[in-house]
Amino acid sequence: MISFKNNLSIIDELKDDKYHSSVIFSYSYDIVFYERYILGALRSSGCKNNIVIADVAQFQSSLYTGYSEDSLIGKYYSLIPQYCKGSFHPKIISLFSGSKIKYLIGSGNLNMGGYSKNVEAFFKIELNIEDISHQALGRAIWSFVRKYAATNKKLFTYKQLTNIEQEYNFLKTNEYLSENTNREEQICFFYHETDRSILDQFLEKIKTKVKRLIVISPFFDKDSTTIKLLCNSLKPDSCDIVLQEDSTSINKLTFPNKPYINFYNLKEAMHHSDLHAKIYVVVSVNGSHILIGSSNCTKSGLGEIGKRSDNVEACIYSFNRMPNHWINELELNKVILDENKIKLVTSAVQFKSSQFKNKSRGTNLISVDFVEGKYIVLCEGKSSDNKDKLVLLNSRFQKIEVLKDCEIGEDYILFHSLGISSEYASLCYIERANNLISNIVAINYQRDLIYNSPKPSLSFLYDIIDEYKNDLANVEFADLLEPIQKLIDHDTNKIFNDSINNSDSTQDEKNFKNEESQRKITYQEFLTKEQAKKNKKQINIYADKTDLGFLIRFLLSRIGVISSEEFLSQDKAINTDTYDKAIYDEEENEEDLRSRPDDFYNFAQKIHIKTAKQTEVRYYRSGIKRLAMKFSEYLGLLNKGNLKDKIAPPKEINMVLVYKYVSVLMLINYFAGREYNVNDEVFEGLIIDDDSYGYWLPTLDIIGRMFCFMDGKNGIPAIYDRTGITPLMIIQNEDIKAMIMLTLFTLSALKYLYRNGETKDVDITFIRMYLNCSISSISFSEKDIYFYFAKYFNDCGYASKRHPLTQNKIINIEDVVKAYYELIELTKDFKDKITGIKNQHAKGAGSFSLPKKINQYVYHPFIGLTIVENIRSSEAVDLYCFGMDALPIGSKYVMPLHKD
Amino acid sequence: MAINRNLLPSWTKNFRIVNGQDHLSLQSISINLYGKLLPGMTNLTQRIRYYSIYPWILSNYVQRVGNNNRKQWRDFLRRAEFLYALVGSSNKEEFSIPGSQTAKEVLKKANGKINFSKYAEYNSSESYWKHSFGAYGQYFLGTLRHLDIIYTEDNTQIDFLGENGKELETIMAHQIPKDITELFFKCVTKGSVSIVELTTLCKSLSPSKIHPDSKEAKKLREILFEQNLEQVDTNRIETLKMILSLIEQFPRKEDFDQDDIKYTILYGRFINGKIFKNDKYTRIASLWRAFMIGELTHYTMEVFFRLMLEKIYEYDGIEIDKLLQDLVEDFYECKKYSKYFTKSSIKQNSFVEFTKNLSLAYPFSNDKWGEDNNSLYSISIRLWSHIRKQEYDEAFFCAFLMFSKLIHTYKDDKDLINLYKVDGLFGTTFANYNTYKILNDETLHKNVTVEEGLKYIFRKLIINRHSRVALDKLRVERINTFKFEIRGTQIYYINDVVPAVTNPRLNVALTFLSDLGLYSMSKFELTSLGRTYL
Repeated sequence: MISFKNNLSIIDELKDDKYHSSVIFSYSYDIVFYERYILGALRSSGCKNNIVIADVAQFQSSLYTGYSEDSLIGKYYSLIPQYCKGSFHPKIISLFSGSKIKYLIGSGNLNMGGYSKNVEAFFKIELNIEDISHQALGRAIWSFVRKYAATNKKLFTYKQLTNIEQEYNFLKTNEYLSENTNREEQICFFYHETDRSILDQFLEKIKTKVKRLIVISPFFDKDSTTIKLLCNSLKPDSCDIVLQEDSTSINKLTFPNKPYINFYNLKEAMHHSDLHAKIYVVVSVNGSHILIGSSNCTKSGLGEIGKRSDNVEACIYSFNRMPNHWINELELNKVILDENKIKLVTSAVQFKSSQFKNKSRGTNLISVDFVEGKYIVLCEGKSSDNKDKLVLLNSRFQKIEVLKDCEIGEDYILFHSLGISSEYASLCYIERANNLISNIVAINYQRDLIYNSPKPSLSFLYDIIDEYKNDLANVEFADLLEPIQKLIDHDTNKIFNDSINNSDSTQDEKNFKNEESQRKITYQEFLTKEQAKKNKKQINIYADKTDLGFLIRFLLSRIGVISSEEFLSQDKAINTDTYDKAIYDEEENEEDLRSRPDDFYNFAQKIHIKTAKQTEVRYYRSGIKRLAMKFSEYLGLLNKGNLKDKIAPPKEINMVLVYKYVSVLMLINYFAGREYNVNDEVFEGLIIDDDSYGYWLPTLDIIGRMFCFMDGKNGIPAIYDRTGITPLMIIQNEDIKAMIMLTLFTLSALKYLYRNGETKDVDITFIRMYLNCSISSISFSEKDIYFYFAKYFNDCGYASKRHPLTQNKIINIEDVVKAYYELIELTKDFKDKITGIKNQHAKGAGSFSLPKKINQYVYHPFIGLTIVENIRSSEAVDLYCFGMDALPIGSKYVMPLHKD
Repeated sequence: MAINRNLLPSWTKNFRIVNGQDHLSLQSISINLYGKLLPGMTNLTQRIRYYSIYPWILSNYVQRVGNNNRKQWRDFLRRAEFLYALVGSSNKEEFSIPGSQTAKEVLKKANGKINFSKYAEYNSSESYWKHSFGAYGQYFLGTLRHLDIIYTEDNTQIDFLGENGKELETIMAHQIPKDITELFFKCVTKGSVSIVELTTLCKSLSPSKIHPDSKEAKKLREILFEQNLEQVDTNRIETLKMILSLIEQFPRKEDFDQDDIKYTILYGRFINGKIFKNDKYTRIASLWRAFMIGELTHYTMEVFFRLMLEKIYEYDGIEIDKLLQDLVEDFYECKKYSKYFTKSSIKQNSFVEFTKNLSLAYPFSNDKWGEDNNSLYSISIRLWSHIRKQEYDEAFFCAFLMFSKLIHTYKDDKDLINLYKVDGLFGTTFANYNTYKILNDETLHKNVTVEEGLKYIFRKLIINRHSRVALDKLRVERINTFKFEIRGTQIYYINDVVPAVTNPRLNVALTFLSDLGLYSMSKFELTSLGRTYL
């Protein structure tokens, strides 16, 4: 058994940095292996933007063997089947983090054999992105990746890649693959160019007398053409062929029978390990050359002289002056030993014919993206026949819908969803006259992909806090702030909107821009392109200043509470003098001056605050409060139809965005403060105007909802936020429990404080949250209730305070608990019906009803039980305010809960 | 451009291929469950007397050697443990003694004097036990710690007596005659013992003979039946009491073993059809019943897995579709064993109807001694035996029959559902959820044909399931436990699976109860003392 020193563990390579994006090229692709093993590892270390490109025929076979209901294609990653005349054969793993790009180029396919069982070889390239020659290499590989991952701008993958590219200026190039720019380097990326095969490029590099040639390949031509070509061109003094006796496809009858050629048997390096590496080492007078990658020693792998192959292949070439450099590096001397020397015994080892042929059925379906009720179909060889139908299948390959009405665009076909299917379509193909005329592809759900697209994650914040939990005072506050800043800078709609806005607007496109997308454009226009750029610039300028005032104002500007001009004009934002008396008037009377932001700034500037403590928390609170006030003021104006320029409002307030910011800030509050200090401000926030309880209700609502998101894959209740906060914590986590309890406490306290008034909103919010928690099997014991309520009660200082609103009686914790149980009493009627909801969730069956005063309830696994403003028709329900498409009623995913 | 370590070719690292266990992640359910139901004993701690012997040895080490040196404690312990194995093995009626295999061989060769130190020596070629601390370290320590007999600290060299251990040690010091103690530890120190000395020692130290009225027995009973704060201890107490109750009601006294307990609990009836009255123990009985359902499901699925691997082994790579078709063809061969497996009945019925009819055609009688070959009990016994004998055709038939019965009898089983709701026992993890999901699988209960159902079992419940389980192990434990490899649409054989029966420690519980004088193993009836525990 041979073991090599410098061996590379793919799984460890995926996790050695916080990569945000991965693009994997492979010939074959094992769906279960990728999703369970690779994607699991990627996502667990924070890599959420994932793309796989595989050979179309291999992809088809994987669909049939591995596709199942819980498959994640098109939701957690996008997959593009690739067509080419031969095989789409490159094996590249590209990984991107903010500061690092890593490529692994080699022989291993994206399956168990390729990544963890076979004898494979990869060339690992970790780019130093500051180094110009590295940049050139990086650009060469990237342009190859771009070319095959996405050529059509309509592909969602195109946006995903653009998103990656934006981070590294040196990657951007207008002309992809027009010319390989790094040919002259000591390390080069080779692929079959139009007129130059990989073999051509490799031979060109070797200009001096060849002493030794080493070839390791699992496949040779039946007529041994390529090895003959290599030997004839290089004329080596000796040639060592490393093979595996019982698995290498090699033909003794045609193999050049020369005395200088020796065969070495790579005995099983490990049980059941097949030799699959493709390595070519040439030792010449001036040094040593290596070619490593996907090319077998065949015509289709390396190509011929002056003639490229039909295959798509990718290899890395490198040169070193030391003659034995690559031999030592790969420890080839452990294999090329006299004791391993063999003679070709069998006349012809059985040639493994490719099991899957690229069977073109006339129409090559590249991708189908689902966006806002439309299926955008991209295919090659499409006809202009508008009688083609799009057949939607479920994960069991059963037809669930056939879409007929289509619009044919220049390079795409558009099908409108009927919106009546009872389950998600997973796969689809094109049908003509009841005949399948295309391959089957998995549908990309842009909504899911956007949600899973790279975005700043607060996990960094948690990491920092975890790391320094005993020593928070020594954390750089800038470090704490950075993830949040990134998060706020990030706009989930960007990718999506770009796909509509930035592409050339054709008549066809205009046709499928419906009202909703129009409105989104308008909102986007609120921050015009120029301004948006400036914003970005501003952010960069201030990035290191950790200016909270700036951050809050930026936040306010993003949701339209202050105008962009106002935001941008405030250059003084970076100064300590950010105190705008008018804004903070309402705080004048507060006893505790520490809560005033100006004081905080002065204080922070003076002592260079390193940790977020109560002052910051308070500052955030006041920021949120003002935000909420403005927001609620705006809503008030909106309701009265009395909207003026006073506040620059977006034409459409994106509720998700508001929720996002508020919730993020609440979390910051929690994590930065590390304790719940609910005080009067909470309650003040609730009475912002006469008609509503202010921002707390939506905030609590979103928190309540957050707890109901299920980890779809594992069925574990988890925080699956739609708010952009990514780390998912299982509900058993004590922190989460504490947050739920905080919400329950706040609601109960509200119920108590407004005992004499109408508490419908509180009731509804409580019921909703309670049900959502119950659906997720969250339950709290009496012990929990008392423990947390007592804690918050004390934290609020209510033990010694009077009622903040009436000032006429002492608040009693027993009363708050009593209010809680009163609220619980309200939910009593629902308890039995929860089973109905659970059934609905699990099986798409079951019924549920609510009392009359609460209507228009809808259950959705992502947002839980919720009220919707608008049940548009008997068929669909409007969930736009949650950033979702309209969904058909009665489907597995949306169940309207009718009045009894 | 300078070549640096960031730009290098490399071979890939492969993970070790190991046999592994629980390839469908169904057995872990059984293992977790019995661990919770009978804490404080393991399958390898068969004699309860060891629970009092170890404190006695430890105490004597402290008194006689008194050195806080781990090596010395280890050597002392190993000698004492092996000497005790010799003592036990010198009486032919004794069994279940750790180290008895070596001890018996040594005794066979012995004439007069036995120099046993070389067998006790750690790492010697003739060593009686591989683990450095013998059976004590390998099997007993965990349970001794759980029961507060021994406690250990990370940074100390020797172990300590827990509260229960102290009491046991005091009792043993009084109970074992001083001269016997002296003799035993003199032999330990010398490393040799004579046959005569062994006979003397055996009289007072026999592993299975604890006088029921002795303080030692009383204390051990107290420990086993002691209500601690932990829920799991309640489970042990209730399980032991339930076993006593079952013995009391058991209709026939021969051949009784742990299988009788398992199956009686599963059916709620004894072998003659008499109902097992377990009103007092419904909670624990339902947990044991859920254990049985999980265990039978796990075993049946592993049999299917084994059958599939046998098929893959015949080929050097086979199309998955062909494999599934081959398995269906094999299934048709089951007609040899049952008149119900006709081609027409298979074709005409849906999977759910066919399996339901089968399940009804082979009703539950549970007559172990009767001629009823079709009870679930008989089928499971047959299944085990066919697998052992590698009779795969018949095993297929039995496994399918078993599977049919399971999915129809235990679909929506309330014990199974309740199992993962039990507070404190499993927290919020879905302990038996996997079993539940398989028995309630939507597809199998939908209108699919028998052929489709069968292919579904192999494709989804075996191939997909194993792929996922093995991938998880690869990712987390970095071991390769794949039994097959899928390349495109082909499947290749890697390794075999041996369906494993989970032994839930019930035999140990029976031995303990017998050792403590609560029931007589020979007469198979409760003692008057045993009845007081009901």
